[in-house]
Amino acid sequence: MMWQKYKELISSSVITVVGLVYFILAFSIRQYGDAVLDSRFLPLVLGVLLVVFGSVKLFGSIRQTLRQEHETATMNSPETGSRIHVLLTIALMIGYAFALKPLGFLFSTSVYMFLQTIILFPNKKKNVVIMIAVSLIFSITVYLVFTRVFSLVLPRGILG
Amino acid sequence: MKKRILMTVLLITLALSAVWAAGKAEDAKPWPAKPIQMIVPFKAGGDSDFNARTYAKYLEDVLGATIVVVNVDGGGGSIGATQAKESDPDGYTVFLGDVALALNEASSLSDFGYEAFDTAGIVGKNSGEYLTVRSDFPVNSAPELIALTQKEPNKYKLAANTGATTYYAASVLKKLGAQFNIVNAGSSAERVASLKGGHIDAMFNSMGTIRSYVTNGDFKILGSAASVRAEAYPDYPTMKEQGIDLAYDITYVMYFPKGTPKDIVQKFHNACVTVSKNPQYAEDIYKAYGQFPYVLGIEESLKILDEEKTKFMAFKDEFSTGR
Amino acid sequence: MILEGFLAVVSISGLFWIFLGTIVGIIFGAIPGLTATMAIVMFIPVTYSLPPATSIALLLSLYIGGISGGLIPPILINIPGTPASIATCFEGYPMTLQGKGGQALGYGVVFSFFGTLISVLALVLISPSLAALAIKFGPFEYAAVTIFSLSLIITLSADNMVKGVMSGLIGLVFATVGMAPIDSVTRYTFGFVNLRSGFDILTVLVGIYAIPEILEIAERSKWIKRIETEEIGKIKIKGFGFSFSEFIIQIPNAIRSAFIGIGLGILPGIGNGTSNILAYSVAKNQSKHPEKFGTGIPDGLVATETANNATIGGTIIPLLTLGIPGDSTAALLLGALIINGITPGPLIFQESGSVVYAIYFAMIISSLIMLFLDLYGINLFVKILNIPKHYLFPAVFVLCAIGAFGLNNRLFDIAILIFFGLVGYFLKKSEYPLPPLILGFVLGPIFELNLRRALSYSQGGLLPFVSRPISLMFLVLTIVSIGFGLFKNSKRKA
Repeated sequence: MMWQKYKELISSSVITVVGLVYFILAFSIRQYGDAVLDSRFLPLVLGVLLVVFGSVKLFGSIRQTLRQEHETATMNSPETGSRIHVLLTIALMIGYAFALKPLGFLFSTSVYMFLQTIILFPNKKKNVVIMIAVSLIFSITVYLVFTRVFSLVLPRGILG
Repeated sequence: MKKRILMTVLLITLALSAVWAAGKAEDAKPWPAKPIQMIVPFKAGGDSDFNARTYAKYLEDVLGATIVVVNVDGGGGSIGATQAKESDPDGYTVFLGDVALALNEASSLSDFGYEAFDTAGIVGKNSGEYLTVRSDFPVNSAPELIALTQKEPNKYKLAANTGATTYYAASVLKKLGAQFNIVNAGSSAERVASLKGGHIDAMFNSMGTIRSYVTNGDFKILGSAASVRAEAYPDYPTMKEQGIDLAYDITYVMYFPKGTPKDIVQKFHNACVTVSKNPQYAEDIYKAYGQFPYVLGIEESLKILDEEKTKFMAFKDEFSTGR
Repeated sequence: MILEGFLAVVSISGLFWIFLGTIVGIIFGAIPGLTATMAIVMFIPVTYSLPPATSIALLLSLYIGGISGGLIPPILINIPGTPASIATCFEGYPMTLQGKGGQALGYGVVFSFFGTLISVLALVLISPSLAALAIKFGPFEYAAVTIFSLSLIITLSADNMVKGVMSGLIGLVFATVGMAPIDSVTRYTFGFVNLRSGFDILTVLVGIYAIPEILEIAERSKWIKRIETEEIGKIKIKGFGFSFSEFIIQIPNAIRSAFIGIGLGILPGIGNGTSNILAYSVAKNQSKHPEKFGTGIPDGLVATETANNATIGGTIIPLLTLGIPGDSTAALLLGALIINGITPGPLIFQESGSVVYAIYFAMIISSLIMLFLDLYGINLFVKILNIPKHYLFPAVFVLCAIGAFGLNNRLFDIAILIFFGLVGYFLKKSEYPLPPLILGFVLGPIFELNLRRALSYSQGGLLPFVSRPISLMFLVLTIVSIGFGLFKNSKRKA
């Protein structure tokens, strides 16, 4: 898979770029008066270090990738994970975070639990009724415990 | 199979309606129907925190609702203030602020002051902050200390925190000619350890944090920075009495987010008045901080808050070097 | 005075509240996303109607229960519930995978108890001396200690030092977001008011550890049904799962780790998050078989759990004798003490001696209760492993989300949680170690604050760093530890 082959390359370039951006943004930090070390100091240092280390890794991985290109591709890619499931999970989590306020805790949590369980379910026969039941019972229990017992305020949304 | 699905759907609807109904019932109850959150913009263990928690304790019986004190510290108090300001004005969030609010605005740590809130009144006054040094320090009064710093400039460290009363005090002293090395030494409790350990030489702290050390002889107080001598500790002269033009009082104010229903604000204010008349409350605050019950009406409070703001804003330039 | 304190705690009411506090604490500690701090905030209103000794005893039990309960998620599902249990994942989870989950829990519980006990002993016997020592630490010393702790990153990631250092740097970078120390200048907030207070350690920790676990399960969802263990049958254990002789073998390790825990506990600001990792590193370095660390041996687990519980006692020392709280949880205890009319400081024994003794007894009793509860609870906890992952982990996520939300009642924090989850996932897939990131994130602010303070105290002079003995000692230790780490690394590569 592309990630397997290029992960070093991708990750080190991402980190180096982040370091660079971080370093550049450090110059917009306000400086205050006459302190010996101001609030810009540490970000500048960290930015430099991150770019330096990141570049080292980057060059190392470029060399490695070039070397690999020359070798015959006899690598059997290991069983690749299901990328679509990962993306779905991430989307679901983000959706949950956004849905909480408008739709309320109970509704969002129940729906999230249900959908997430489906995603994580191994390829076997799925018992939909049990999944709905578990999602609901969990959501309601958590809601009651947290709002009644712990006095935590959870979003009410459409269900109140 | 169809019956199972129907049963499940019915159960679900039933459960959800029950919860919904309970929620609606809660809404219908008069304020306060659920716990109130009291935001304190400083760490637990300090004087603001103490005043907040003491009120929370006694207000519970008067209002009939639990008050949960939450510490949101940082940025000299501006982070907690901002969070309180942005909270829903439903009467379930209250904010215990003090003069730091005005100081934050003066130092540009925040861009708002007391006007951004609905005031429920001043509910307490600190007995003052005291200029404290180690007992073996070679001065015995505030003017002596200032003279010492002028003899050896930048040698003696005075603790101050950006955007706080301590910074105001340090700036005033600097303007009057003192040559301290003004440094940061953390919260009031941390400053105590720092002073004891010899890392700093002078600090302004409220009585609660230093009382034990004065009693056991580790520290000595050179004077109070309040406008009048503290009733509880009449032995300590004020800065003004010693010829130093530094005076500020720390008042604690209860604020609600702007837009909170006026009757809730009034009810809360009245509850605070009731608490202040409680002898148990008076005993608690006297024992810990030498404070006396001090609650002002909303109109009067606003006047004082305005005076405080003007006073601190006058020092705006000293605070914002390079910001 | 001693008797008064004892009786206050051993009364029916006292014991009831300690018992309740310990259980609730364990529950809060055991659920990732919930913390003992939340439990304490919740219970403070309850304490208004209780006498002082009982109030403090209750809050302390919540604290002790919380730290002890915190060992359950890292061992069973590889997710640390608090920064105090990060290193518990290192050995605990591998042990679970080998079917020794129950035994891991047993070790964790027993040595948590041991750690608390030793620290209470220190509290009772030598707190004045320890307090006097703590006072000697000024900004220079703190900066040196944090430099030393940061250098642990090097020893910890011996396998891949460059990546470990980079991970640590990333952690330090994230710590700079928010208002800077001392001058409160806003950094990297991009106009978001919510970022002005920076990222909360819990949100970062849970995001970085919990969400990648869930994502990895999603990745492999085709094949797995429940947490794989080789020998499921062996999980049920008798007693604590290990013998008395095995207990004795661990004692030197435990005592050393307890001292590390107490030592870091008395330094306000540096506490649980660091002590468990430091104890683990030291145990690994001093061990006769360091290469076995990480594969699932009790030694690392013992070190971690003893240290983080010992830190509790360590934190109480400056709290009581100086009135300085070591972390936000201790700050709550301080507030509670003051509300109850107790002024921590040099006069606390004279003014409120009975309460102090009550605190000692409460800590011991709470630990005993924790031990007792967990003894019977272990087999129950282990059953968690039987819950199918596709139900367990969505539930874990929801709880983590609530935990993040509950910090400040902001949905924004859940977005931050997910953000760090993605960061953690990215790093994990790129084979960057995660613990250095957390270390960097936790230590960064303390380091920057103290470095800047130190230099302002000396007006730019660096001499005090080496002329002050304590600071010098830690700097030397840093050089030694880095040198050691580099040496071992080169030896391994040879």
